[in-house]
Amino acid sequence: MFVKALNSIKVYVGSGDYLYEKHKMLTLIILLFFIVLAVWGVAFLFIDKISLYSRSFVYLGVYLLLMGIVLVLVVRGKESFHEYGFRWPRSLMNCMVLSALLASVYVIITVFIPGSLRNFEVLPPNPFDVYMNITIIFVAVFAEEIIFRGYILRNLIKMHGFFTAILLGSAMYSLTYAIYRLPLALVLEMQGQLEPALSFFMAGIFLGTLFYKTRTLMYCIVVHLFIRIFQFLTPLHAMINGYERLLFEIIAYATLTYLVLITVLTRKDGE
Amino acid sequence: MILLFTKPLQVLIFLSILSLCLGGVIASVAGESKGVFIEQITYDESKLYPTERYTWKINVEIIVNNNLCPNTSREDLFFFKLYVDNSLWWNEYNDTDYKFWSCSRNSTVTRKYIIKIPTWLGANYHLFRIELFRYDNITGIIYFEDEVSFMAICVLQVNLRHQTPLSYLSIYAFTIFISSVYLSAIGRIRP
Repeated sequence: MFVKALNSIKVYVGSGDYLYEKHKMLTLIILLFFIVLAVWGVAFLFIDKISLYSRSFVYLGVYLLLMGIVLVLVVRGKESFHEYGFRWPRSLMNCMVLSALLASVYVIITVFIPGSLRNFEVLPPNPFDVYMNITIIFVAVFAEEIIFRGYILRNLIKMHGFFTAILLGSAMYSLTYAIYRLPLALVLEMQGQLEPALSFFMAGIFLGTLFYKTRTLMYCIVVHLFIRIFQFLTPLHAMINGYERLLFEIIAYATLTYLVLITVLTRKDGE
Repeated sequence: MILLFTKPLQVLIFLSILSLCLGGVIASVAGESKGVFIEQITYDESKLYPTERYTWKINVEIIVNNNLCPNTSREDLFFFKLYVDNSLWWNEYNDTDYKFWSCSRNSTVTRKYIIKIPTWLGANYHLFRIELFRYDNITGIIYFEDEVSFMAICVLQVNLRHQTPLSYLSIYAFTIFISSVYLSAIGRIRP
């Protein structure tokens, strides 16, 4: 009887610890999410008043600050960087080849298929510093992956399982984009402000699936980087409206998710 | 030397430096004032497509400044020159059989021009410059009065058979082919 009571207390205390850890982690995730929103909010307050060149430095600063905050949270936590996906893939070559394939498929579906159905716009070369743009892309991709896949999604998967976590993580990812465009859409009634948020949601699902299968941030970073750089280096736009663009983005991310599911084996936690 | 540090002389030096500075500022402001100037240009700020037609409205304000506009007549004659990337594209005087347009003093006139963007401009950022000239109908001399410049984006509209999309498409198709061959050779990736 006494042993049974002790065991029940142990189970109760254990679950209490677990619940405490779970709540603590959830609080940290929500806190981080609001920090991301707040930092971008402050940046957006004065970003319109400065030159385009200075904006690049603001973007760089914001991304570095957010990355720093996540790294501090990881250092202060009990788990190692390895647990958060900071590990090398088995083969960097495979990672690069898969990324090139996925990014090329993405560009074909979002630019060339709608463009061949309608027409293309050949855009002028970017007037700003190419090196600066590529640096921003690098830093932005690193920061987004470390925050949304490495910290938020990884902890959500640990707490709620894959499906709930990927929906919540992708919703947070798209909300950071949508929340600052919401006033433009509602107050100023500007068209095409909120549609890309759904595309971000789909991107979150694709990159989340990739992170879940590979258990390493390197795949997500390289694939995301390839997509952004291919987009940046292709001076073409399909002449389609916002809704059509959104439809092709959704098709593209769904195809990429399917390709990840069929080409990548799931890595076990202990591997 | 000691005189320099006496109070009245210090005040005098200070006042003379101040008047010099103020004089310079006033002179520079006065130098910028013009008898005729382009008040505003309204144009399509978004992308410009070659072979499309756009309406540009140019407001010109004429004010009385007898030093700059000594012509005693109540109406002055004007024309524009339009430059793209610093080369002359259109001269209103030469290209319209030497026609001018007139504007009364102390008034504003709005001129509307329908611009057809030529194909030779290509997809790029172009610097457009509009120069305003005044024709003195007594002496027959043409005076340059004002200029306004602005950047506009020209975008080409092409189909898939154009060399730009075709070349990019071939690069991406080749990348997909090579990476598919590689991935099918190694089987499913062990991350």
